[in-house]
This record gives sequence, C-alpha cells and structure tokens, in this order.
Amino acid sequence: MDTSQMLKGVIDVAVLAVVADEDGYGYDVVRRLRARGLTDVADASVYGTLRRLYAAGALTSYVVPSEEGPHRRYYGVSDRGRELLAEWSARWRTFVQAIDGLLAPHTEVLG
Amino acid sequence: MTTVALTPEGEAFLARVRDELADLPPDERDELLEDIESHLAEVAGEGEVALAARLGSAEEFAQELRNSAGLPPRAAPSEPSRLQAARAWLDDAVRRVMAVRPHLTGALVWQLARGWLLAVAFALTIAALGNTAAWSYRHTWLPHAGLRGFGALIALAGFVALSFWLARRAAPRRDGASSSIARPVHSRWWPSCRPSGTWTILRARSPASAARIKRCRRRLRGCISTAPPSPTSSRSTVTASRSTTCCSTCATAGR
Repeated sequence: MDTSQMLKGVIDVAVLAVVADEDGYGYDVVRRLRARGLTDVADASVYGTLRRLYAAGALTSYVVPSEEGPHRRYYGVSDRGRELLAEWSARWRTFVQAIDGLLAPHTEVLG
Repeated sequence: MTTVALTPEGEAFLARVRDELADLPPDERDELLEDIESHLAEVAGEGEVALAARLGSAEEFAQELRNSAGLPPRAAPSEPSRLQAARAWLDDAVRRVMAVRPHLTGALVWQLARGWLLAVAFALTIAALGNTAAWSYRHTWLPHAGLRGFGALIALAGFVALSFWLARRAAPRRDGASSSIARPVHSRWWPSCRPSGTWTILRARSPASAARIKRCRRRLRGCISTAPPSPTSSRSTVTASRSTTCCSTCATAGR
C-alpha cells in the first residue's frame, strides 16, 4: 500500500494536530508535516484540507499582512477543532490497536 | 524566511490554477487563490527546484486542491452569456491595469474613454453631414471623420485632451475650499474600506483638508491588495483593523 493512499484517510487529523500545536500558515503546515515524517504529503492537499476544516468551523483564520510579498493567512484551532481532535485521536488509537493486532504475528515472520 | 514577489513562472501557474477553479463561487475561489499565491512566492523563494517539479502541473494541483477541500469536481463549463464574458474580460483588464499601475484610477480610464467617445460622436456627425466614412478602414477603432493621414489620430488626441481639460476644470468644484462635499469613496475601487457595508463620505472644508483627503485616497489605494471582507466568512482581524484604520483616517481627514 502506498503511503499517499494512507495519508488521504488521516490528513484531517494530522493537519489539525499540527495547527493545534501552534498556529501556522499553509506552507508552514506543509513543512511541519514533512518534518514530522509525512514526507509524501502534497502541498495542494494541505491547502484544501485547511480550507475544508476552516469551513467546518474547526479552524479560525487571520491574515498577517506582509510588505514584501502576498499576505499570509494563518490558521489556528477553534474550540470545535479541539473537540474533533480529541474525538479523532481516541478513534485513531482504537483503530491502530486493531490493525496492530492483525499485523503483529506477520511482522515477526517478516522481521 | 521572507516572502518574495511571484516569478513569471509563478504568475503563470497561479493563472492556470485560477482557470481550473473558474466555476467556483468568487469568494471561495479568491480565498483559495490567496493562500496559493503566498505559497508560490515562498516556493519560488527557496529557488532550488523548478515550480513544476515541486508542485506538478497546475491542473493536477487544482484537482488535488478540489479533492482535499471537499469541492465538487470541475463542472463542465456552461456556455457563458456574452454579457458575462464581457464583464469577466473587463474585470480582468481592470485587475491587470491596477496591478501594473496602482495609481491609475477609474477616473482616468473614464476620461480616456470619454475622449474617444467625443471623437466618435464628432466623426459620426461629420460623416452624416458630409457623406464621408466615419471610420478608418485600416484601423477600425479610429474615428475617421474624413480626415487624411495622421489627421484622425491628432483629432482623437485633441478630444482626449479636451476630456482631461473638462475633468481638470470640474475638479476644483469637488475638492476646493468652497465646496462642502467631496466624492464618496467608491467601494468598488477601495473594497477594503467597506467592512460594514457603508460608504465613507469625505468632506473637504478647507484647502488643507482637501490635500489630506487626496493623500488619504492614495493610501486607500494601497488597501486594494487585501481582499474585501466578506460577510459570509469571518475575515482576519488584522485585515479588518487595517482597513478600519484606512477608513477612519479618511473619515477624519476632512476635518
């Protein structure tokens, strides 16, 4: 299975977690995701996800003007976003445990 | 990292992405594009790899953006009416002009257009009276009026000059000390100045206040780069306070 396929399922929670750490603008979020090991994340999908989370009320946004270049739109997490993040991480843990349980015997064989 | 202006490559990429998102509601599209614009500027600032190598094609990029934003795939372009097409063209032309010449105002465009219209009216009158051609055969934009060589061009220049002269003559009445009211700041040209949906009326009560208003208008033009705050999406506090400052500066400039 290709990592980019897996990313599709978790990009929401990954982006939300990164923004919850610290407010960031689009490219900043891309960089932080990559630095944390999600090297395959596509720039465009991060921007799209940010917009979607914002439209869903999980993020707030504000623009910081820049004299030299285009303005940057920063995103921060809203109360609703924090609720979602807590909910998703609980669900994620259950999911990972289930898959880990399935894979554990095979991992040893391969390993 | 500092942001830099877009490279021509970045501009072209952005334009193609804009085309790909043409079917979205303008508010939605503009907000997406704003983010992409600053992104492109930063990618260009890193300068290591070509844009295409880093981001793929503009079409793929737009596709990915739509998918992840939960937007529907691109609708088959419906046949736009001629009026819509003309409006889009005009908006685009104005945007381009404003990008190159931020100081060029709608008034200037209007004065040029009025000069041309005067020349057309003149040519049509002469043509009707003298039974000559009203238009040049080779340059269809040029009202002819039976003049030869550069005559038609000189006549057109004369009418444009007349139009400017009329505007100059009318100006003191608007901004001068004796007048009580200046033109409203039209929200179309100063979109950021409309956070509450109201227009700011400027009043010039003295020559000094007229000068302040002039300076203020110039400053307001700098606000064009920020998108108008839309009532549907809660816009940034920074943008809002910036435009509020612009507006309140202008509101007090007349005193």
